[in-house]
Formats: sequence, C-alpha cells, structure tokens
Amino acid sequence: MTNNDPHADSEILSQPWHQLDALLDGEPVDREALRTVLAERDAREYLVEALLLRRVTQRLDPADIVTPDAPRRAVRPLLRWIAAAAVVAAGAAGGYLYGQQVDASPASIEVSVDTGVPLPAPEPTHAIRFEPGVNWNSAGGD
Amino acid sequence: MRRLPPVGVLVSGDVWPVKSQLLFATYRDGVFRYLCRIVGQTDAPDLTQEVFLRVARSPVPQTTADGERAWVFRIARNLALNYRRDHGRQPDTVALIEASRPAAQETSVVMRQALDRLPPLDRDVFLLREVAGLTYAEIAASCEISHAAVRCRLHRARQHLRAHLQPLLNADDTAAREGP
Repeated sequence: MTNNDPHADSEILSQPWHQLDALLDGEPVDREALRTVLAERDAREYLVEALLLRRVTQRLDPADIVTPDAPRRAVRPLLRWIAAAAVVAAGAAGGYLYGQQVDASPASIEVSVDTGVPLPAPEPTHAIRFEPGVNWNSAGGD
Repeated sequence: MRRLPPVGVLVSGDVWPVKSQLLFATYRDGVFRYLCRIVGQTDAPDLTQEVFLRVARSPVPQTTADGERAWVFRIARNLALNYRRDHGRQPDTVALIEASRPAAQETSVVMRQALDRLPPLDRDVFLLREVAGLTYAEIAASCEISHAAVRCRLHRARQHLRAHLQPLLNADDTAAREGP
C-alpha cells in the first residue's frame, strides 16, 4: 500500500527545510530554495547537527549496540496461565490413566493349585479343648 | 560478541542461486547494521541469515539494482517488525555496559533510547537512510509509503533526535575538534 496524496506531497515538498534534507541525502535540490533557506541561522544549525547526528549514528559499531537480551520467548501472562493449566490437566489425566492400568492389571502373585495328588493335613501342634458350661455356652453369643 | 558469519559460512551446505549469493554479498553488511539497531546485536546475525534465506527462496524481482535493494530491505524490515511484535518492546534500561568501551556503549544506550521514542515508521525511515544508506525512492519502496512521506518522516525523525541527543552531539563535536 502506498500512501500517495498528491496534495499533501506537494505541500511537504514545498517546505524549505526539506531542501536541507535533500542536500544531506544526495537527493535533487532546488538551488534557489536551498540558497534562501541557508540564509536562516536555524537552518544552518539544523544542517550541522544533522551531519553530527549522521556521524554519531554511522560511527557506532554494531558491537557497541547494547540491547538487553530480551527473553527468547516472552510469555504473556495469559499464555503462562494456560500453560500451567495444561500441565495440571495433563498430570491429572496421566494419573487417572495410570491408575486405571494398575487396577486392570492381573495380580503379580501367581497361585497354582495342583489337585492331582491330595496332600495330607498337617499334624496339630496343640489342641484346645472347650467344655460346655465352662468356656463354651450354646445359648450365648459371647 | 556475535558477528555476522562470512559469506562462505552461510552459503556452505546450501545450493543457492547465484543471484541470491550476489545479493547476500552486496547487502549483508547493510542489512546486518540495520537489524542491529532494530533487534540488537544478539539476534541480528540470526535475523540477517533469515532475511537471505528468504531472499534465496523467493524469486528475485526483475528490476534495477535500486529495486533489488529496496526489496531486500523490505524483507528485512518485515522480519524486524515480526521480531518486535513477537518479542515485545525491549526495555529501555540497559545494564550491559562493559568496562572495555564505556563511552561508545553509553552513546549506544542514549541513541537507542532516543530511537525507541520515535514512531516505528519514522525510526525505520531514519535507519534505512542513515544506517543502510537507502535512497528516498528505495525507502519508499521498502516501507511502502510515498516519496514525500519519506522526506517528511525523515525530517521529523532528525528533528526529534536532534532534540533528544543535543548533549551527545555537542560532546561529539567538541571531542572531534579537540582531536584524538
């Protein structure tokens, strides 16, 4: 898109000080307009200071251009909250799925029963005798 | 300190069209200097490489040398705008002043602060003129504004910088007169 406005353009170009910029920048100048504007002290000061500005700007070595290292990825607060919520949700989902897997998995202890050969019952180590009416009562629940 | 890699480093491994290599060799320093002032010297080398990768991947417009330069700098400017949009405005305060060249770096800080106060388009116009050396017509093509708008914005930027850098300009002038 080009901001072309012929009326505004001609108005801008008729400003005498733009002759100074044109002179500075190696663009075509109107000699008479330049002569007129250079008669003004302010115009001459502008010319000198614009040249000084150019010298300062161009002399600056790129190595001297210090800029704070901006964060490589500047995360906006909203994005930070969304990321935090996503991490929490992912953790919860992962925990749930892991729990589901653990519940569904078979027991780790295998029990095998061999019914082919009947095993004899082990011998008792000691016997407890109950006597009715002494330490055993058929009517009570105690 | 990171520097722009030499031509061979960037080109090695890639099969670049000859035209793109020529554009890289011709404009890389100007693009690098321009990007240094927009994004800082840390990211300028990477961004410069990105500019010329895009140049290599795009068909070079059939135009004059001036048109080519404007085209390369339009790519650079667009990438710089994207960078600033993605990374946000960098803080003005700088805490990286090294002891080795304090005066130059102080100048850099003051200059950067003054540039940051300019409207973005005015700053781009000023830097494309003073740092990259583009003509008014090339700046107009790069920034997609009219020739008169270039002149107007350039003048405004200079007036702004004059006002904000007056002590710096006076000191520089005094130092220059006193000699090395």
